[in-house]
Amino acid sequence: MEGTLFGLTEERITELGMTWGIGGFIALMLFIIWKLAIESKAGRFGTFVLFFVLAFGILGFAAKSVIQWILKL
Amino acid sequence: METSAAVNDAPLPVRHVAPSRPLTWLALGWRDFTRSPLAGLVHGAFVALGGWVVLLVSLRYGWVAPGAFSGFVIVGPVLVTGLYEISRLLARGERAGLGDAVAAWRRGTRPLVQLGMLLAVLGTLWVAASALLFTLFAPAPLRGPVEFLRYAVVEQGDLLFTLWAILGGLGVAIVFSLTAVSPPLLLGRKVGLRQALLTSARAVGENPVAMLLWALVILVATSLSLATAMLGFLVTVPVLGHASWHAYRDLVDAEGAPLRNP
Repeated sequence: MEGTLFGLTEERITELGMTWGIGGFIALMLFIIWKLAIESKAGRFGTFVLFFVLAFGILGFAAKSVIQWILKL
Repeated sequence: METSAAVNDAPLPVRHVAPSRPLTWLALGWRDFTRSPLAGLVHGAFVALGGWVVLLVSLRYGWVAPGAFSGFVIVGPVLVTGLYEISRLLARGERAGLGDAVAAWRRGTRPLVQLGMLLAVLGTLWVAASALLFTLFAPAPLRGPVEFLRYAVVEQGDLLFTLWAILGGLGVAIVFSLTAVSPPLLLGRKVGLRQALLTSARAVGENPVAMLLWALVILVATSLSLATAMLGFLVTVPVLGHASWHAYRDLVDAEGAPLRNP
C-alpha cells in the first residue's frame, strides 16, 4: 500500500478510476448507442436500451440476492 | 469487403412483429431441435465444454469469472452458425443434419469470421474491464471463486454492483442489438458486415418490446444453463440457436440482398 505510480497513491488511483475511468467508459457506451441509433435508422432504439439496462439491473440484483442466500447457508 | 456486389452500407428493411413473437420463435426453435437432435446436442456440448474451461480458469483466477462468463456468451451467436444452416434447410423442406452444420462452418463466409473476431475482441475487453473494476475495489487479492463471490456480492455494498450492472447492461444491450439477427443474415445473404450489424440494430430499434422479451429469454436461459453446471446448454443452445434463425426470418426483409448460396 506504500507504493506510488506516477506520483499517485493507490487510493488516488482507485478514486480516479472510479470517477473518470468508469464515467468515461459509460459515456463511450452511450456515444456508441447514439451513433447506432442514428446510423441504423431505428425508431425506438433508445427505448430498447433504457429498458434493457433496467431489466438487466433487476435480474442482476435478483441473482445477487440468491447468491447471498446460498453463501450464508 | 465483398468484391462481387457493390458495397452498400444502408440497413436492410425490417418488419414489425407482435411483442409476444419471441415465444413463437422458441416453439419453432424447439421443433427444429427435435427434428435434428444430434446436431443440436453436439453444438450444446461444445458450449458446455467451453463453459467448463472458463470455470476451470476462474477457479484459478477468481477475478476473471464475472467477465469471462459474460464474455463467453457474447461469442455465442457465431458459435451456433451450424444451427442456422440446419434451420434454413429444414424451412426449405429438406433434410438436414450434423454434416450440413459442419459444411456451413467450413464455408465460413468472411464477414461471419470478421464478426466472430469482433465479438471475441469485445468479449476480451469486457473481461478486462470487469476484472479491472473488481480489482480496483478489492482491498486484498481474491483467491478462488467463493472468496470472490463473498467479496463482490456480500461484503461490498451496492455501489460496485450497481456500476457493474450499468456498464454490463449497456455493453450487453449494444452487443445484443448488433448480433440479434446479423449472423444468420450474413450466412444467408451477400451483405457486408457493417450492413448486417446496422440491420440488426434497426430490427431491435423498431421492435423494442419484442426484442426486450427476446433478450430476457436468452439471459434467463443462459443463467439457468450456468446454474445447472452447464448441462442446460445441451438444450438451450440448440433451441435458442434455431429460434434465432426464425427471429431473423421474421424481422428482416432480405429479399433485396442476393443469396449467398442460391
